Amino acid sequence: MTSIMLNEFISDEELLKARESFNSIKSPTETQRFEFALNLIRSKQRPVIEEGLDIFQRLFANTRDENMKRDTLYYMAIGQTKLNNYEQALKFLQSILNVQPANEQVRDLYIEVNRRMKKDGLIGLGIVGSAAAVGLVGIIGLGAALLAKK
Amino acid sequence: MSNPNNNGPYNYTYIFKYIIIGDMGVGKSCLLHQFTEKKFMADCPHTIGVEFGTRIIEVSGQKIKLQIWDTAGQERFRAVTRSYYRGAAGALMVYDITRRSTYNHLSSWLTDARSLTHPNTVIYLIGNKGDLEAQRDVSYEEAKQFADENGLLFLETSAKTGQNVEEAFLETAKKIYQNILDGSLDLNAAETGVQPKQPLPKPAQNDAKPSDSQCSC
Repeated sequence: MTSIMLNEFISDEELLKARESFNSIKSPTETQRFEFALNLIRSKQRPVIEEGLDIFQRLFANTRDENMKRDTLYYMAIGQTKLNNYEQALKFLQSILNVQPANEQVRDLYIEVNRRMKKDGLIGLGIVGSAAAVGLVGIIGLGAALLAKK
Repeated sequence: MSNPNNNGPYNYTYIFKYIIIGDMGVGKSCLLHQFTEKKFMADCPHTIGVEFGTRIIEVSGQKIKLQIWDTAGQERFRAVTRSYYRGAAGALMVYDITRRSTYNHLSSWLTDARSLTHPNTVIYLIGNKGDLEAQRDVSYEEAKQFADENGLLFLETSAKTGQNVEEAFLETAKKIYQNILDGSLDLNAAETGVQPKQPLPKPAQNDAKPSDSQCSC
């Protein structure tokens, strides 16, 4: 259920509008930056999602609002999942669960990310970060390495 | 087995979409949880973006699946949650009877609800935390008057004790169902928030549909 954000995409037009209105703000507040980043990670395009993740990362580092920290972690997990960086996504979700173990929304997303990770048969590859950068040979090589470890 | 009118739990005639809106901390998620799980969730964390719950209910012998979108009350989610208003058949607009500020913000929530939903969307005003009588900050009479002036249904509830929670969700559905029966809610219209499980016979469409790429919606 929590995968709504994972399956719903922003239109190019809506994104352009969001970008224009964000760029017109001289010194955006935390809330405005958050809203903009949220629109960015709704994109289908990798560089746009990465741009959103970057804003979330900085918000996370600079905010004093604990709820804001939690929310940015959650959406960084969504963004990383969309980039197939499942390990990284699970790490973000786990750090929320360390503080709020009963948060059902976060638990649901954790389960969903785990499911996707298994489905894609990419267990372990998330560690590499940008999976796209790894060539097929690299993937096979890493897979063999992982098997050898077991 | 294939009888569509049997009484199995997964058979229903309609899907009604609801949204729950209101300030942060008024108990929106707790109301949803009480309604779907019949339990009170203490120390409920703030909702991130939107959450979702379902329950099948019965109205006048018809099984109806409620698809309920619970929205985060925090300001930074306002833009996201607004996109979920579209196509809601029912809107539960919640305030906290012990915090006047949450009541004072109702007109802004109502403006959003009215401008972003269908004209026939049933809007139910809910004064939650009815169990905290000693801390009451908004009288029943005052809220009732606000509801009457704005044509809203109104109830005070307690997500903690469960008081009136069923009623609020069910009465919203009854009102929607009534609108279907008396024809004020046209099921063939777009974005009514009501979805018949069996597709309705489609009216003849002569005009060619514009392609998706032209649709800016």
